[in-house]
Amino acid sequence: MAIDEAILWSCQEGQVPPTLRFYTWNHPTLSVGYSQKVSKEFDITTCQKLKYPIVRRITGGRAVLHDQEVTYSVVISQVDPLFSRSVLQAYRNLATGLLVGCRILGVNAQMATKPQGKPLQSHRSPVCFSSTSWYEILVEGKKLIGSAQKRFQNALLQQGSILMEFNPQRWRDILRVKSTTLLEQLVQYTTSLKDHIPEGISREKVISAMIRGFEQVHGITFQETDLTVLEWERAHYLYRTKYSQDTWNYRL
Amino acid sequence: MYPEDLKYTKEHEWVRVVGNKAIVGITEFAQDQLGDVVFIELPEVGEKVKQFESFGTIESVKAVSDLYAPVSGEVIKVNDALEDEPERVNKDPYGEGWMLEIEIKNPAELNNLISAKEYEAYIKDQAK
Repeated sequence: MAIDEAILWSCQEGQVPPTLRFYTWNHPTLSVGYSQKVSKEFDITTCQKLKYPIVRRITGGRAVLHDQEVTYSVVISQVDPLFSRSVLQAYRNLATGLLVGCRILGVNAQMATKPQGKPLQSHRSPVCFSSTSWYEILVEGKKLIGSAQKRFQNALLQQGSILMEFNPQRWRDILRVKSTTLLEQLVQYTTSLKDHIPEGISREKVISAMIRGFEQVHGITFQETDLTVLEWERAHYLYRTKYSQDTWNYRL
Repeated sequence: MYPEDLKYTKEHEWVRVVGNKAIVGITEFAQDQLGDVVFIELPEVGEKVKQFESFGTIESVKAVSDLYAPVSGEVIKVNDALEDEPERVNKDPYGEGWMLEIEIKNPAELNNLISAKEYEAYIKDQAK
């Protein structure tokens, strides 16, 4: 999370180009959306027992358990053609890359369209994969990739999770309110690559397909690089002052 | 869709000027783009905001975005109802979905804002 924000910060200043990043986690980790109330929605004691660290994102959306998945992030600035001042257009631009990536993997994914006449939800589910919204990546109506954005005037960060496998039991363990409806919804609305590629697939292949998806759709060629010294410095600083702090992660 | 008695920013805030006060919210276009608003972070009464600088955060099911002050001045009222009912911004962006009342520090800053017609043209241009 600190690295994503360091890239965003550096891209906003024009120090680094637009960046597509893929990563995995050392330990299964629960990331929560910018405004989520962690202690109200999750059983923190169980998370600690299971050794699932909790980290807050700067992007919106709901909680993701980063376990059997690939996490991606995209940072683009206003000078990049993929950037749009329209939230939905920017989502769409990025979703098309992910969509083609899925198809390269042989998964017949679709982009979710704007739900018509959907009532406003006053009680939202705390879990990202239990509901779908515009331009998310679905297979047979179930969510495969969940994404969230943080927007600035001159740049945006989109973070998302591509599910390799899905285990609803893990959610049962860590949710504070173990609502059967919510768990049923999760099962009903979530899918993973394992459901569509029964022979299994490596993370490397998934990442390579997504990169090719973006390249094909947008006519671009990525250059694989490590972070710059500046990005590392900023990432360490952000980790030290923000992402390792309970004041940020738990909003204490 | 864009009331003519209001002034607008290119960041999709509207301002209703009443005497030396500015009532601020986000436009119909902004709420439609954001989708269901789920959380709004606003400053406290007494805080000072600066024109075109961030005064808060709005989160929808799609994105977290900053909110930008259309004028500089002191915050004299905040719509506390949005804490529990952020969906007011979707339902009634120019009415119950208002966010702040600012005491205008420098009325000349209002000249930096755009009219309803200019705002509408700006949005059409952005959509191209």
